[in-house]
Amino acid sequence: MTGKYRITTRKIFILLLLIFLIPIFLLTSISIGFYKTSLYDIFSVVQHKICGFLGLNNNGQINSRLAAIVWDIRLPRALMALIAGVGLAIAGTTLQGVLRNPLVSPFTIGISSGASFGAALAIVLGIGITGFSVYMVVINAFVFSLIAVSLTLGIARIKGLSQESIILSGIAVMYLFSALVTFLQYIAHEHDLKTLVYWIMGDLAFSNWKRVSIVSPIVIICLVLFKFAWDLNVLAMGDEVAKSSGTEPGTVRLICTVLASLITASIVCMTGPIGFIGLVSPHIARLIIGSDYRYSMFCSALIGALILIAADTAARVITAPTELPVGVLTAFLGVPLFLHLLLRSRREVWR
Amino acid sequence: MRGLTKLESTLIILLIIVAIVGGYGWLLAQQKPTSIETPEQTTPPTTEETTPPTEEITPQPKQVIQNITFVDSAGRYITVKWPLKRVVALSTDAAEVILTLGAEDVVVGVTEYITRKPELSKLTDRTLVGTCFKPNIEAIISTNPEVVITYVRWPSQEALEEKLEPLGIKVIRLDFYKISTLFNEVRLLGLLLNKTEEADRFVEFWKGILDEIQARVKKIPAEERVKVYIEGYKDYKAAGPGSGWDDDLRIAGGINIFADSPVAYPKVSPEAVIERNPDVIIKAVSTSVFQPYKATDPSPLKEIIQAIVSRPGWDQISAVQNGRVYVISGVLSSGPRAVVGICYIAKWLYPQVFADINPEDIHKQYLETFLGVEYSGIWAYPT
Repeated sequence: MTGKYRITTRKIFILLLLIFLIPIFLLTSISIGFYKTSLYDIFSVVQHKICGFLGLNNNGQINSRLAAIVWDIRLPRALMALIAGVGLAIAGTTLQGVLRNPLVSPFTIGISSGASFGAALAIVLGIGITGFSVYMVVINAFVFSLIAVSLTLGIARIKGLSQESIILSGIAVMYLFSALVTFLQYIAHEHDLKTLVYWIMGDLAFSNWKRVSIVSPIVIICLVLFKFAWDLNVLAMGDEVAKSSGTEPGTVRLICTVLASLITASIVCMTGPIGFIGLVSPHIARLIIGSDYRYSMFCSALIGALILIAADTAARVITAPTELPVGVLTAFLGVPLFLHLLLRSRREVWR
Repeated sequence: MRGLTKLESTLIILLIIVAIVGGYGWLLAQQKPTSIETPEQTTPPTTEETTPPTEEITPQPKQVIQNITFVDSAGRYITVKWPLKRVVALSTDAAEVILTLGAEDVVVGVTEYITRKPELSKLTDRTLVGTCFKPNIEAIISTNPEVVITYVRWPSQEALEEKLEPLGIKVIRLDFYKISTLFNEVRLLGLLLNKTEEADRFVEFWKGILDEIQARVKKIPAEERVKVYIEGYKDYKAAGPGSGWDDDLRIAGGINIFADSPVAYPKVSPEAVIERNPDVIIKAVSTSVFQPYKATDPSPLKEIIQAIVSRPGWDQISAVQNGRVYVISGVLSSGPRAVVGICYIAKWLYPQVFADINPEDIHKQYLETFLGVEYSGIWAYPT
């Protein structure tokens, strides 16, 4: 009993440590950028804004440009990285769980290529589901990523929603939409092509408060997915075992896939398909905290957020004033961490 | 014990990441913020124009700040203080036009492509705000501009207007790369910068040449029109309708052999070019392959021509047989200098009709009188 107790304590300790790191990473991200700011500046801006919001008396003037950069540009972007990291990581963990496959990511079931196609339609041809131009890319990307996922699940349903059928139909749908994107790239004006390529590589530069507030409800969906952690544990032992313990594999798979897709689609339509987070955060979490989904899902969410915040900060800083695509940096930061854990680990995570 | 080691290693890695990221942040935090102060609010605007501007606006005494409302090429009503004093130019074409208007002092921020163009070297010391297609919003804000000037379509509104307009920075979208809208856009910018005379000089200079070319082209009978294959930067990427080169070719009186393409830059098969048998082949060269300004050695251009001539089966094409294969710098395809490109093309297509027109002289005159830089380099070959 004491041994098990100690292991649980250790897991909670790791989670607390990761939670503690989140504000540190956020603060660091907000402090760094082309426009030089000190920690004091950050605090004064935040204090000023919060006082203003609460209607309290603001004493002291504040540089309006500094305030705009910290409050309207960096803070929403850092929060978007936080939310996107959490969402992508949880979607990835869920999908790897329900599909029992370590190579699955939220993008395997066609979301990223569907979203890219929607964005490409808007960018290259100016075709939108709605006429409103500023959000044309976002709405298109969202709608088409859901179309792609519905297609995947619709095809898989014919085969009874087995994990193979979901993965294979997902790959088919992914290739279909990728081909469509390639075609649009072929006919695109070279300047549009540049815009599209940036979008497809993933980019947090479009973040603002409005977008953050639109995306933030996905955190609630994430909480719902935590409820399925035990079902995922049971499902990991195979469909037969799951059935005998009262979990219907097909239903769980469908609900979890739909929820994970919703999360991913909401994020991807705002940021473009940021790779790697959804694939590797679940593995990193499993390696440090074990394969019990009740812990690893939470841990994966924190890891995803940390990697994405760090990657976005690096993407903004390394080649300033130009920016690197954040997808490149997530891999650069995540792969060494992942490989280290993988080589150090003596545990067979995927049996 | 095993668990402890793993925990330790995890901790160490995380701490290293924190140390790197945090340390960097701390270092930055140590530096005092460079003093870029918000300028004092000057006297409030006294008069306000709400109708689209006419050219009759007379300069007011300096203390008075006027507002001016106009329509940009994206069709939006925009109100700015007149005249503009702090401008960020995202596109190279906009930067070049501002220079020709003699208003380089108003430019406070530029993008990477602008600094890479040696003809625009007057602007290289300005704050770099990323690239035109991926501008850095923080850098733009740090230059404290009144307006940002960029293309109608790029970058997207979500990347620019959505971020800058809440801060009171206006985005003016003017293309400057299409010959059909260039002159009106230059006149508008001239008005905004209080450089209307310079803008008129610019328009008169180019329009005079353009009208002359068009008048002569009109007299060339249809059966004497020349068939042309224009190739973009990549091999077999033709310039189809909608591309800048196609517009230039049309004005110069050529027949684009890929005018039927549904795409601006179609990838064509070598056979199709042989089958359509162009009388003239023109190849565009990007500045990353050959920097034309200050170039003295034409051998890279000779090699490009040699490579085209020796493409398998292309010795059957009449352009190759008659030695009518030319290269031209992509700089001359669109933008303020498109007319120079049109002159070269017109002269290559109809050497007798345009015998007295010298594209190099026109280019030289433009660079020296409008941009104020010395003319040099190789912009097309053979001439």
